[in-house]
This record gives sequence, C-alpha cells and structure tokens, in this order.
Amino acid sequence: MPAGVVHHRALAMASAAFATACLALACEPTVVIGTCSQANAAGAGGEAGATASSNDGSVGVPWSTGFENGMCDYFSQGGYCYARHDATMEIVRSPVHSGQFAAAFTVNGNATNMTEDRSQARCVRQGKMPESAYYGAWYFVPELHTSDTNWNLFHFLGGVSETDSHPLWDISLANDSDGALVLSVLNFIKNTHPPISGVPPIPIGSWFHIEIFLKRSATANGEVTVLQDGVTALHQINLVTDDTDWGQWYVGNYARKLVPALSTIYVDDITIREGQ
Amino acid sequence: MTLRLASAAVGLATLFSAAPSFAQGGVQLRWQAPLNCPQEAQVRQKLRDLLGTSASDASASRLRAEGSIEPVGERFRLTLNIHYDLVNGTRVVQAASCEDLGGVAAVTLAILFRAEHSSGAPLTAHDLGGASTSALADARTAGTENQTGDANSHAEGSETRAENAQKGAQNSAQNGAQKKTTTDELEPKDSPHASDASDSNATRWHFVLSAPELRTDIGALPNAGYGLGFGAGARHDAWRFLISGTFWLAQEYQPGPFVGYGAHFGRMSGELSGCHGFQVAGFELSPCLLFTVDDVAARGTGTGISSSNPRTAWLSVGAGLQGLWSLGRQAALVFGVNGRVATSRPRFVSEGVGEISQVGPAAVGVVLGCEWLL
Repeated sequence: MPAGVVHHRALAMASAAFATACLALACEPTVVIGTCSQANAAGAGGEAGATASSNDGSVGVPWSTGFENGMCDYFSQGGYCYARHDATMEIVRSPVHSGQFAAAFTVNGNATNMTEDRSQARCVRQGKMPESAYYGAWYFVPELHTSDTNWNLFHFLGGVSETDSHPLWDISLANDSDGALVLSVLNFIKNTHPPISGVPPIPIGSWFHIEIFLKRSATANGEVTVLQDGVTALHQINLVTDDTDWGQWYVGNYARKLVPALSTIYVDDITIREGQ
Repeated sequence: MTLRLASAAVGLATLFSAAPSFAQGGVQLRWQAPLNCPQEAQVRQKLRDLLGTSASDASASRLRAEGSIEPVGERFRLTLNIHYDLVNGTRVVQAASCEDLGGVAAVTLAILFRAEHSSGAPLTAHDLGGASTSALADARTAGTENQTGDANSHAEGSETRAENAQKGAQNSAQNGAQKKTTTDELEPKDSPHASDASDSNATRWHFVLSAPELRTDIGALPNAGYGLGFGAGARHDAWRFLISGTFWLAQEYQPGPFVGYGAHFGRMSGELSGCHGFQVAGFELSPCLLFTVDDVAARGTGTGISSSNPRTAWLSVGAGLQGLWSLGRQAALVFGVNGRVATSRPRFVSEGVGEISQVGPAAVGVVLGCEWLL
C-alpha cells in the first residue's frame, strides 16, 4: 500500500478519533465574555462600593454598594446575588435613592408551605463577620401587601459554611392590626420576636432606611439595635447574638405568601459600617 | 430572417458533429405518419446517424416522445410531444413536404439527448418546448404564424428551416471536423450546451456559484439564527462540492433571572459540503455531508459588565438533504434542511452573572438559495 494512502488514512482516523473523543468527553470550554468593571464603578457618580478588601475571608468594613456597578460590588468581594422560584433581580434607573441605579427584587409570593419553593431574590455578603457593625440599606416598597409574616428584608445566617449553617436574625415586614406594614424582628437563637416600638409603619411609595447594629457574641455579651430611618425600634443588650465564626448577610426580597402575590422591592445604598 | 434560420439550423447540426461518445438508444419514440411520409424506423435511423455509430448501445435517457405528422391542406404538420420524467413540451412544425419533418423530429430529439447528457442539470419544460433550440423554436413559431395568415411565406420559411436542419445534421454526421469550425463560429462560447462532446471530461466539471443563500438555524446559539451566505464549488456529474460562508444577524440574549444581564453574539460560519444528486421528476434531490465551523464573538452585557468581546470557534459535522429545482440550464432554486452535531460546546460565562449560554449539542438549519451553473 502506498505510503501516501497510509498517511491519509491515518490522518483521517486521527481526526475521527479526535472528534469522537471530543464528543465523548463533551468538550465544554469556558469562554469568559464579561467581567466586572471596577473602572466603571469609579466613574459612576462616586456611588459605587467603597471596599475594604480582605484576604482572610473576613467581611471588610466599611463597605457599600449603590448598584452603580451592577452586582459587581458583591461579586468582587466574594458575595453573590441570586433569584429563584419565579423571582428576578434587575438593576433599574428609577426609583433610586442616590446615584443612577438601584436594585429591584421581584418575588412571587404564591408558595406552598414548602420551604424550598419560596420565591426569593437577594444579594449576599459572606465571610467572617465583623465583631460589631451597622448593617443598613434603603428600601422602597411601592404598594401595600398582606403578608403571612414571613416577608423578609434582612437575614443573618451563621455557621461553618453555607451548607453547614443556621439562621440568626431576621428583619421582616408584617401587617399590624390596621393592615399597615411594620418591621418585625426574629431572634432565631432564642426563637423570639422581640417587640418593635417607637417607629411608625413603613412608608409606602417612598424610601426608608433600615439599619441593625450587631455586636456579635456567643455568650451573653452581645448587643442588637434596630433603627428605622435613624430611630431606634429595638435595643437589646447582654444576649447571645451570634454563636458562629462565619456568617452571611442577605439583603433583598423573600416571601412565602403575599396578597397580591407579585411584589417588587427596590433597594439602594447598602452599607456595612463600623460599630462602637 | 433566412440567414438567421439557416445559421441556426447549421448550428444545430454542428452540435452533433463531434458527438460519437454519446450513445443513443434510450429515447423512446412513438411515431404516426401517413404512408408517404417518413416512418418510425426512418426517424430512428436518422437519430442514430446524428448521434453516432454506437446508437444501438442504450445510453440511459429519460426522454420519451410521441410524434405525428398530419396533412393540413396541401401542407404537413409535425406535432412532437416530448416528455422528460414529468416535464412535458410540445413542438409543432409545418412544411410543404412531410419528408423534411422526419428529419426535424430526429434533430430535435438528438439535441435534447445531447443536452441531457452534457450537464448534470435536468432538462426543463423550457428545453422541451424548444426555446433553447432556436431553429426549431423558430420553426414552431412559424408554424403557428402559418395559421394566422401570410401562409405562403411562413410555410416556405419553415420548409427552408426543416431542410437546413436535416441537411445540416446529415452533413455533421459525415464531416465532424469541418463542422466543428462552424460550431465555434456560431455557438455562444459560454453555453454549456455548445461544448464539444469530444472534450467530455471538461464538460462534466462545472463551476457552481451558490448565491444568495438565506439560512436559519436553531441550536447553535440561544436564539434562532438568521444569515445570508454565499458559496462556490464544482459539480461533477451528480456530485456537488461547495464551500460556503454565512454572516449571521447578531443576537442579544438574556437568560434571566438577572434582568438586563446577558450577552451579545456575533457569528460567522463556514461550511464544506459534498452532495450527490438524484433526479426525481423535475427535481434533483441531494443528500449531503456537511462540515461546519462556527465562529462566534460574544460580549457580556449588563450594568457594570465589561468585555473584550472574545471569539471562539467550534466544528460541527452533520448531514442534510437538498432539493434543486431547475430554473433553466444554468440556474436552480435550492432548498435544504440539515442537522449537525457540535464537537465542542463552549460555555459563555459572565462574571458574577454566571453562565449565559452554552452551545447546543446539535443544531438544525434550513437554507434557501439560488445555485448557478457556470
């Protein structure tokens, strides 16, 4: 058999083998088509995240994001945003509290009682949380809803990792006797709802500020303060606030049952600042 | 007019001057004529004379014809119904003598036989009707005109044409070399039907241009693609080999659940195809083997997202089926469907947002275009 024929056959067989191998191994190269642009952040009205970087896995303080850089202030710090169960997240130009952008978190509060199918869209900071810090965000609720009391805005979770963790604190919305929406705090460690007082129902159709001060303590030396538009709504001292070394802070929209079911909440100017 | 008719007749006749490589025998003929006119055996003999000595060797032909001569007053009219698969055509010639009409029928069938075997493209109704054989078409026209008036002059014209065609054909069978010179002078150089049969290998290779090609497909990118392409290649008998390129409309895609985050895809593709055609009625059906390379430039989109617009390419292999509907001797309308499997499935990922899209394991497409036989 001529050498040329052998050569061509070998080449054809090699090509076929390569193609087959490729198919068999499911060649799936990753093509990174977009990256977070920190340069854009600097040029976006100065509202983008001021970040204290940390290489030890701790959550840097101070930190903030006004979503001027989209979700990148979260991703650049090891955090993330997610939406599931009919939920979406969108960066919007209106309404905004400051700068050009805010985030819109939309959920569909039509879940059954199964925990797994609760509609949620949130952004998460995670790592070794500061010993004490203020965690705040501006919220805009455009319309009144009736909630089954589990309409969550802030959620703190602690543990070793995301899969080995337990809830610590919630700040949610609940309807008062008049149907207005008021803040509701849940202490998971003691499984209690400490009473909120001294603040009005949240405004509908305008921005309001929620902030919680947490002095972390696994013994009874902790402290928690919840403020609405700078007014203290809850203050407790000498209690266990966090029995873990690693934690997550969720900000966004999470609902189980809402009437009407579809709810969009706008969030802007999220901050973590040092406490006393 | 007389000069034109004479030239056409001579041209037709010279077509056969160098055609010994093609055998007749495949043309099915049914003939009916008055006893004083040429009979079927004579017409068949003329056809064999025109096509060469190997006429008895049955070369495949899908041509069928029914010819009849009938007296019209003092004249005679030939009606030749010609069939090529499901394609039909009719030619009518009138002459003062029915002797000439037998020759006209033989020349007509010989021309069509030659045309059938000189190109891979199927004969059309246009061919059968005589538009591509000007002398006979003129003769048919003359015959029609004969019924409307000025009978004598047109009858004489058709008689002259018939005589010229017959004589030319007979001469060409006897003196091919001499008539070849005449052919070169009379036949258009770019006509594939005027090619010299002695150069049969050259006539079997034709340059093929495929343009424009309108394409659509699904499976390669997240949304359906719409493209405009062109191709070039060669046809050898029933085989076609084409290399083509397609520019696809850019597409935007947002996978959700992050509204406003997604990707912009720009795409070009190249395809190498090999097809083998089969004549089915008036169509050519061609199963094809395809190798396709898609080249995609993707850019992540969304607030805070920047991109260097990276490119990636992957190879797909597949098969398709094309149908060619002849629009004449040199053009065909092409409709095809194909499917292909990707040998690589790139994932398009945007930082923070995650995977935007992944190339599908398989894609299916449709192409509609024109093919030109040059």
